[in-house]
Order: sequence, then structure tokens, then C-alpha cells
Amino acid sequence: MNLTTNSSRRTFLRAGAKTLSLPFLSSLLPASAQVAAEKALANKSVRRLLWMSMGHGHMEKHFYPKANGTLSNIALPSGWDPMKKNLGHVTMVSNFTNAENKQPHDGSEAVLTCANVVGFPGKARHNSISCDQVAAAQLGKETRHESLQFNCANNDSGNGHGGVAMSYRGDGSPLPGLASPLEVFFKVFGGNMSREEMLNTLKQRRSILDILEFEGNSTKRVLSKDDREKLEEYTTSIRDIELSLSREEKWIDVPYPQSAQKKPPEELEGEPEIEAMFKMILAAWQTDATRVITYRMPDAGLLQSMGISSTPHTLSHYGSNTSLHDLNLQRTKKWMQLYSGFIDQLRSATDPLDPNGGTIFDNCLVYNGGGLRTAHRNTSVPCLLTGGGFQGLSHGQHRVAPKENTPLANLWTTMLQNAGVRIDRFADANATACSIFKS
Amino acid sequence: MNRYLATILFSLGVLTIPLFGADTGVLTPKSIEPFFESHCYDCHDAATAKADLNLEDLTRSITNGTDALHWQDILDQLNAGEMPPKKKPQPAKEELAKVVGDLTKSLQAAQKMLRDSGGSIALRRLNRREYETTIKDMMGIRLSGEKLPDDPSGRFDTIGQNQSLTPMQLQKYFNYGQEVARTVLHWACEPRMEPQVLERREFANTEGRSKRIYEIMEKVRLVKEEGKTPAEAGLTDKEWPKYDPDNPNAQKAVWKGQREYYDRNRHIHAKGRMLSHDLLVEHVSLSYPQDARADYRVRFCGGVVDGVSIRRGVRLMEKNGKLGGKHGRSFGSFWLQGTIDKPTVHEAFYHPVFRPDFRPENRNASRRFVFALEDKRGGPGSEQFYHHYRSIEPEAPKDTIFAQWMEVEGPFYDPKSPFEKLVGKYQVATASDDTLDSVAATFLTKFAEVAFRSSAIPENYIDQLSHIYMEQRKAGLNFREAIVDPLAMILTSFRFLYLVEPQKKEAATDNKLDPISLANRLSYFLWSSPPDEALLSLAKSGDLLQPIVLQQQVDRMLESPRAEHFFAGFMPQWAHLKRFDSLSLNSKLLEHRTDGMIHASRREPIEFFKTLVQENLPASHLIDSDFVMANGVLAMKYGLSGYYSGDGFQKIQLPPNSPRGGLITQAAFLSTGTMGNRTSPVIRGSLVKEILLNDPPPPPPPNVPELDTGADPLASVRSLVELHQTKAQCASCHARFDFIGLGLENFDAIGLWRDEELVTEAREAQQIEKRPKKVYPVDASGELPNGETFNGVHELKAALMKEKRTVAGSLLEGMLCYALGRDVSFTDLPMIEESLNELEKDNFPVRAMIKKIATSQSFLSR
Repeated sequence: MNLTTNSSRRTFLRAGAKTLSLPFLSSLLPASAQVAAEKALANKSVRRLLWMSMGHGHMEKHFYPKANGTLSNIALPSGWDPMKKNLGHVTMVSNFTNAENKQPHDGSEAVLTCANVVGFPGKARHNSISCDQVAAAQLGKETRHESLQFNCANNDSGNGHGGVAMSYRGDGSPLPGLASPLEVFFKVFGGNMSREEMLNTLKQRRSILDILEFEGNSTKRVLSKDDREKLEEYTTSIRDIELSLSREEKWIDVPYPQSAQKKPPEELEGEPEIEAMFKMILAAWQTDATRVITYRMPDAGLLQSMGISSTPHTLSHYGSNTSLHDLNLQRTKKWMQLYSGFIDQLRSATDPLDPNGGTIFDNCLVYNGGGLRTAHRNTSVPCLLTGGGFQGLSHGQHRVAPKENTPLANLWTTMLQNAGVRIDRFADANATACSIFKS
Repeated sequence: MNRYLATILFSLGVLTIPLFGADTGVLTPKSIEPFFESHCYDCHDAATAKADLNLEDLTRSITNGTDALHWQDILDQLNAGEMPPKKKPQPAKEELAKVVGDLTKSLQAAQKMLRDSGGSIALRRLNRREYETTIKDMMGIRLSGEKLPDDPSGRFDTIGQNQSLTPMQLQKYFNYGQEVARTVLHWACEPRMEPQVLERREFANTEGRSKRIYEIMEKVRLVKEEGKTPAEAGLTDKEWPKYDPDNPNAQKAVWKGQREYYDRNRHIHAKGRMLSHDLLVEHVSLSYPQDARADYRVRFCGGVVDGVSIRRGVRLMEKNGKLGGKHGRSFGSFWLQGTIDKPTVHEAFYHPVFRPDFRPENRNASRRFVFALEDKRGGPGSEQFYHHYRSIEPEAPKDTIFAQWMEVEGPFYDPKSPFEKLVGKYQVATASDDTLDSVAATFLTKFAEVAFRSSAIPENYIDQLSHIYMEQRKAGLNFREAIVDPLAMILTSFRFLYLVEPQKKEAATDNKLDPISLANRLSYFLWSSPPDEALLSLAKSGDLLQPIVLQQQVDRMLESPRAEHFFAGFMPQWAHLKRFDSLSLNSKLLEHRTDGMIHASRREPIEFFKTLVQENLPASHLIDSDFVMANGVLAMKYGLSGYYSGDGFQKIQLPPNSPRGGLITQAAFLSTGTMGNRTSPVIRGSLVKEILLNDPPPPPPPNVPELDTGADPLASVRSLVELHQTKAQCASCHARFDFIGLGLENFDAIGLWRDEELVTEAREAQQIEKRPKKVYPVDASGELPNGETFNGVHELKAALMKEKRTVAGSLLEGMLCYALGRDVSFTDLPMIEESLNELEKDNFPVRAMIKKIATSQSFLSR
């Protein structure tokens, strides 16, 4: 078989779809005894990963505990009030720093890549692969979507995220993802098309992509060498879409799961939007649509829905302005309340893939934080962990890494390893973070 | 060769940062040497090299990214206060500030050098603005590009180097292209209508609801106060429980408001409607059948209660998503001249924008609403709910504005677009699908010619598109449905999305742009849209390559209404006014921040720039001018009502000693320099330094030690700003711009004049009296980076006037960067210097600058 031309590559992929083992059906047929047995044989639950980022961080006095030890025993700042009932299910980690992040306003752009996005090479900004994409390449093989990215609307201004995404591919290009719960809904539950319709659509889309590629490539001979880079970007995008079509085709015989919940409304903003996204995370996991998710949360939208006209950036310049302090506290409490509610849901959702009948909570690893600690500081970034997937970690503690500015990539390495990703070190990691879990 | 040229230019001091060394790198500052000697070599010299760091050995000339990163690490350590270690002797504040400042400058220069494109222009994609205008031009409808991929951040949205394309973005382009295709086909098949008054509403005797409530409330009063039964008072069994004031669900406040509104305006209802100041429903509106190809005229006839001076503004709103009335989006304002008995007619031109899927079943299926409200505090969403606030004009009666009638006239169309002409020519609206099958390929060819901007259509391309079309037809779709994907493919093609400038076959050495590419480049520079027929024919004949012809075209194009896209595309980006749209200002506290004011503030710099270009005025007008461009609302806010009070923007000659004039005293500029409802001399100063003095401050470093926050919560802005000088890491940069911004302290958070600064903990205007507050007389003294001191805005402007050439250079570089779609390179410096030398005798007139750019070697080369 010749793999060098497009058509034969396609033929291969099509043939591959038939001969390769079908993806696990368990996600869609959670009750199926056969699948359960299959899983039980492996006697291992799947692990799910989630990273969430909120941008500018919290004020020291509202969020960061001074003492380490058991959360219920140490003095917790007032921002933690709404988290009271779930203190036993979270872990606060301190002293992790993303040393490469030089940007005081961009808390999410490099948080998962640990890259220096404004370094010195030719482009204004450049990034590298994010840890969730490293995980997706390995954990995403059995799911309809390798990974999913949730995002805030692009009018969410002054939110301290920076860039356009949390997730970046191997070549450093961004994966901005889905900006509304409704878009996520369609990704997870499909658009109600018949098999034949889907096949036709796929076929049509392939022909369209072929022609787009043909037209693009036909400019090659009139383009200068430098301009061809842009053409390369264009044709690579086309081929990437083709690959995703191949994945869709591979899944064509697996029906989308039925949704137990209603379609979320189109225009949600702030608090209801975040709540709906949390529900979608649960849905994506329970139906095994994907196992790797990142969520770039709408901090500015949240403030607006709370009736606060200031942007997160304005709040980050709190200085000695007491009214800004109040607003910061209100927001920290709101985030903690939302997060606590999310933990409740994780804990009450059963995991259809767990051979032992556990919950989604038992099998996930969730990071909630961002690349900025407070205002414009990027040392010891906020790290709230939850989920039962962290090996050897008992929640309910504030754990402090012994060394200040321990690479954040150490924590990512551990999360990836715990989730079953084969990796020695991610980015600038110089060790893993598991030692602090066990202390 | 480029580096060599750079060395020469930099050593001649042509560049603003003369830091390039002999081996063409950026030299580290001299001040670092004694600093290393006294604070660092103990641990980090060749002998000790703690942490493997030997500073003696480190290069003193930054030539590549690795060198730069090493020095950046050192700067980071100094900024964060990590080095020298706490237990070692610490450097004096001035010493550290000097070293941090110098090193920051070196690294900024290194960054600039390492990023320099060497003059090469990266192929670029249409940005969002250009995509929208191109669709309008080619296909005739004005669609919102909100669903298109985002533009990258960077100095301008035209810079190709910053763009990247992801698969998801490409899919967005295709999906958007499908919507566009469906929508333009829908509209191009609709007949055009004659302009006429589409809807007119008279407001006499329309007080209905408030009258009904008033009458019911009168009956309720009879029950409550005069002991009548509900039946005796005339209330039905249904009505009484609903309106019973003891019913906990009764909307007492609303009814009270309605009743009082009816009562106090009793004598006016027969003439028209008073716009109610405090009711939940307070607007007048009308709706009309809309056409996505057209513009409209909105007219409002009304007047103001005698003696009112501030509350004369009417804001015009369109729907914001599904929300209308006060939740809508402002698109203009009127400043009322008339009285209730002698109302005046006001007119605004309205260019509505449509959703890409706007295809109503019939003309009445989706009507557009236009609302007119008193111009009250603006801002997003919930601020508008707040209507029981302190009146901005306490002596005025509750309701000040009288509306007699409102009307919309239209539709007014542009000449037919190429796509509409095609649809007409092939009778797409009426011909049978079988007939259309025979012309589908020609149709697609003709459209591709337009969409590809004269770039050649590849062989077989149309066949392939036709194949897709036929497949769709076989699947049972009609022409209008089957042609959608082929059209969307043209709109997603490389030749449409990218401004392809083909290389000439014969010579790789000749960099000269061909005339067609030049026409495209010129057209996207001055119109953000493709060339028109006149320009194209000059390109085809090759005449466009003659400098005279090119200059004539620049003149012609700048006179055209399409040049609006240049004025509105360039100015807000150049002056960093994009941020104006995402300001977080509390309108509850800033009572002059009305929707009309916001709209006018946003518009002013664009109108100002337009005037500079069209009248070919000196660039120094950016520092100070003897006129402002304002409409009635803005003129009132600037205290210029006595000079002009019309609805449209007009040139107002300033009285002597007016603090206005120039860019830096414009409301949008000043409010952009606002943070948390207070002025920010820091932002204002750094904007002046970057925009006018052409010397952008370095980006703020992370992890700078916090300033003492134990300060007085009611401290003046000035004292807070001065705190920066107490920390070396802050002082090193802030000393260079904070003191410029302080010169503008006489302008408040939204740009109104003030003699005193009021600092309060109040969150709403009505709380100001009750909450802790302090009042400081404004001290607007300051200093320019060159050491020149000044006191107040007049002296600040006078000091800046000595930097005319720098300011002109900044504008020239900005426009060059926008026009070429790349950052200014050292290869541009000779052209910039020469142009400035030539333009100096005429004080750097702005239109002449544009001609210099359009005829420059860089602009004429690939």
C-alpha cells in the first residue's frame, strides 16, 4: 500500500476504520454486562483529567491559608467559607511556580505549557504543547473526542487569561475550543443526524477539503519562500480537519449518547454559564465523550453576572482601595461556592466505567487555579486539587512544597503519571510532586 | 547586510535607541559593571560561580535569544528583589533603579532587534474588519463578523506576522461562508424598494397605560382613604385584589411612578409624550421592515422643558441581542434645541449591522426596532436599572424631554455590488433550476474573479466547484441551496482569505510589486476593502505605477466615504483606544457618563483624525489644536454648548485658553487612562509616552514587590502615583511616564474638567454626601522624560510642542506599520528620516505623510 499520496492515505484510513478494533462501546452502553466484564477484567477504572483556570487569582488575605496542615484545623481565610462542607475533598498546594511565565497579565496562556510565550524568537508570541494535550494523545484513543477545551466568550475582557486558549498543540498553535455550553452539548450529544446523513456529510466535507487544498496549493508557485509558510499553515489546517473527519468516520457506527438533560440555552453569561459548563463536564465524562478537558473560565462574565461593573484587571489593582477589596472577596467566595457545588456533583455522579461502582469523583484529577497568584504575581500560583485519581493523596490538607518556586511542571508530571500517561518529565519539571502528596 | 545597515543607522543615532554595539548586538548598560562589582561578584565571578553563574564571563553584547534570556533572568531577579540575597548588603535605591531601568531598556532594544523582520512583509489574511467590508463591497450586505476568528493581539490588526491559522478557525471561515452565501442569495433576489417613510409614530395621546393606572389608583384611593367598597369605587372583583396595596405582590412602586407621571404631565399628553425619567418603561420606539442591503434615516421631533441645560440629550438605541430599550446598544444621540411648543426635528443616518443568518421570510417577519430615550447614564446592563439616582440637574423638573413624533425613512441603497449584478444578470430570482444549471459554472467563475481580487483562477478549479454543485443538485437541492457550498468554498479559499501578492515569474531579484497587487495593497490600506473599478483599471493599464497617478489615487480614495474604514480602523488602534470599549467604569458614580457621551467619545478621535487627513493639517495637532470635533452632547460636556449644539460632528473653533484641542484632552483618550473609576496618570502618561513621544514603556514585569498598601484609602491619586518612587524597581520605569500623566489631572475619570479631586468610598452618586470623602485641589504639575517641567495641561502641551518632529515620526511610523502590515523595521529608517526632513518645512502635514507612505519603496515592494 502506497501511503505517499492523499488518496491512498485516505484509503488506508478508511480501511483502517474497518479493521482496527472499534472503540470501546462501554461509554454508550453503561449497563452492558459485556463491557462491565471487560472492564472488570482489566480491573482498572479510567482516569479523567481536568484543568481549570480563572485568570488574575485571589487576594492573599481572602484565599491563601497561612498555616499548613489539615484544612479543617487551620485558620482559613474568609474566601473559603462557601467551601466548608467540602474541605475534606480538596487539597490546597503551595509553592509551585511557572518560572517561564513572564507575563503579569496572562495567567492562562502558559499555565499548562510552562513555556515562555514572549521569549525572543521572531514571532510576537509562541507557545509549546500543553500538558493536557500530552495526556490527550495517550488517553484520548478510546473516546470520541481526544480532548475537549471549554472557553469563555471572547468578549470576556480584562480577565487575566492572556492569549486565546489554555491548551496548545505540539506546534504551539492554540486550541481555543468551545465558548458556550450549547456548543459543548452538540459535541457531546451530537446533532441528531442519521447514519446515512452523517456519511453523506462526511463525504461531501472530504471533497470540499480536497478542493480547498487544491486551490491553496495552486498558489504555491507564485508565492515567495516566506509566504509559503502561511500556505503551509493553511494546508496543514485542512489536513487536520481531514484527520478529525477520519476520527468521526471511525465512530460513525457508535451512536451518540442520549442526553438526560435539556439543551442549555444559547445566551448564558457568568454564573449560570459556569454552572452549565460544570454540568457539561459531568456529561462528557459520564458518557465518556472524552477524558481530558480544560476550562478557561469567564472571570469577567462572572463579575458582570454578580452585578459588578469592574473587570478582573481592575480588581487586581486593589492596592489599598477597600471597596475593591470587598469586590475581590465577593468574587473569591463566588468561585469557591461554584467549585464546592461542582465537587458535590462529582461526588454524586456514578461512574459507568468504574468496575467497582465508584463515582466520577473517585476517578478524576481536577486542578483549579491559574498562572497568577494575586494581582500581577506569578509565584506560588493557586492550586486547588480535587478528585480521587491522585495516587496516595488524602484530601483535606494544605500541603506546601519544601522549596519555594518548585516548577509547576512537577505537578503536571505527577497528574499525568497518576492518570496513566507514560511520561518522565513534562516541560521544565525537575522532579515529580508525589512526595508532597504522601507527607 | 541588514545587520550592517543597522549598525550604521544605530551608530548615527537615527534610531531612538542607540544601543547597538560594534559586533551589531545590543550592548548591556555600563551601569551594570560597578553594580556587579559591589553586589554580585562575591558569589558569581569566575572563581566562585555560585549556581553555575559566572557574570564576568557573560556576554556584554546581546546578539541572540539565548543571550537575551540570560540577561532577562538577571533583570527578573533584580525586579523581584531576590538578588542580592536578603542577608547581604542591599544596593541603594537610586543605584538599583538606575541599573534596572538601564537593563530594561537594553532588553527592550534587544527584543526589537531580534524580532526585526528586516523589512520583509509576511503574507496576511483579511482581518475581521476587512472581511466585513469586503463582503459589503462584493456582495452588498453589512454582516456582523463576530463569529469570525479573532484577530491576534499586536500593534495593528493588519500585521501578518502575528497571525496564525488553526483548523478550528478554518472551519469557522467555512461555516461563516455558508451563512454569508445563503444570506446574500436571499437578499440579492429581493427587489429593491423605493425610499419612503417606512414608519412614523405620533406620540400625542399615547399616555394610555399611565392614564389607566392613574384612574385605577384614584379608585384605590377612594377605597383606602374614603372608606368606599371596591365596587362603589368602580373596581371589579378581579381588579381589587390585584391592586390592593396590602397585597404583598402589588407592584406599588411601578404604579406610583405611573400615576405620578400621568399626573405631573397632564397638560402635555395631548401634544406628545414626555420621556419619563424614572419609570421602568421610559422610551419611545418604532419598528420598521429592514433590508440588509440598506441604510436608513431616523428622525425625531421633540423639545425640552424651558430652562433645562444639561438634560437635553436623547440617545438612540438598537437592540443588543434580544434586549431593547435601555438594555440596547447606543448608535447615536440628538441634542435637542426646541421647546415643547416649538419642537425641532433631528435626523441621524443609521447603518445597521445584521446577523450573518438574517434571512426573514418576508419583510415584516423581522422588524428592526429603534428606541429613543433620555440620554442617561450608560454602560453595560444592570447600571441601567438604577433609576432613582441623584438628578444630574437638580433644578430641572422630573421629566425634561418631550417627544412629538419619530420616523424612519429608507431604504437607501449603495450601487449594486458585483454579486448582486451577477444574480440580476442570470435572473437567479426567477429562472428555473435547469436553466441555472447551465450558467452555474459561469456564475462561479465570475464570482471567483471578484473574490480572488484579480488573482488567476487555477485550471480545473471551477470544474471541481461545479461538480460539488451538481452533486448537491442530484441530491435534490435547488440552485440557491446547491450553490451555497461552492460559494462558501470561494469565501474560504486561500486567494480570498489571504492578500496574495504573486511573484513575477522571471525575476526573483526584482522585488517590485505588480500593479494589481499594488492596487490591492493601497485599497486595503485606505479602504480596508478591495479596489474599485477606477483603481483596478489604472492597475491593469499599469498607469498606477506612476508616482503622480498613485498620489492622485490617494487623494481620490481619501475623499471617498470608504476612507471611513481607514480613519476608524487606524486611529483607535494607533492611540490604543480599543480599550475604551472594555473599560470598567461605574456609571452609577460617574453621572455624566451617558450613552450619548460614550458614543460621542468613541467617535471623536476618528472624526479628529479624519479632519487632519482631509484638511492635510500638521501632525502637531495631535498635541494641540485650535479646534475640536464634537457633536452637541460632547460639546456640552466640554463646556462648549455656546459654540455648537447640533446633532452631527462638526469642527468647533476653540475659545482662547480652552484646555481642549489635541488628542490627549479628548474624552476617549482620558477615560482610557482611568482605572477603577479614578484617573490613572500612570496609564495616561504611558500612553502619551508611547503614542506621541514614540517611546513605548517596556511591558510591566511580574512579581515586583508590592507597594505599601497601608496607605490612606482616601489618598489623592497624585500621592498614590508618587508611591512608585519609593521602590527602586518601580521608580526605574515609572519616573519616565507617571509625571507626564499627572499633567492631565485636571481631567476627571471620563475626561471632564475639574479643579478639585473628590475621593470617596461611595459606590453611587447619591451616597457621596453620606460616605467618607476627601477633596484635594488638583496639582497638575509634572515632568517630561527629557526633564522639562510643566504645570497644568497648557504647559504640558507647550512642552510637547517642542517634540513636534518626534510626534510626527510616531504617526508616520504608525501609519506605515498599518499600511505595510508589519512592524517598522530598521530598513524603514532612511525613508522615515527623509520623509520627515522633507515634510518639516510644512509642519508635517498628515495627508502628505500618507502619500509618502504610498509612494515609498517599502510600499511598492513585495
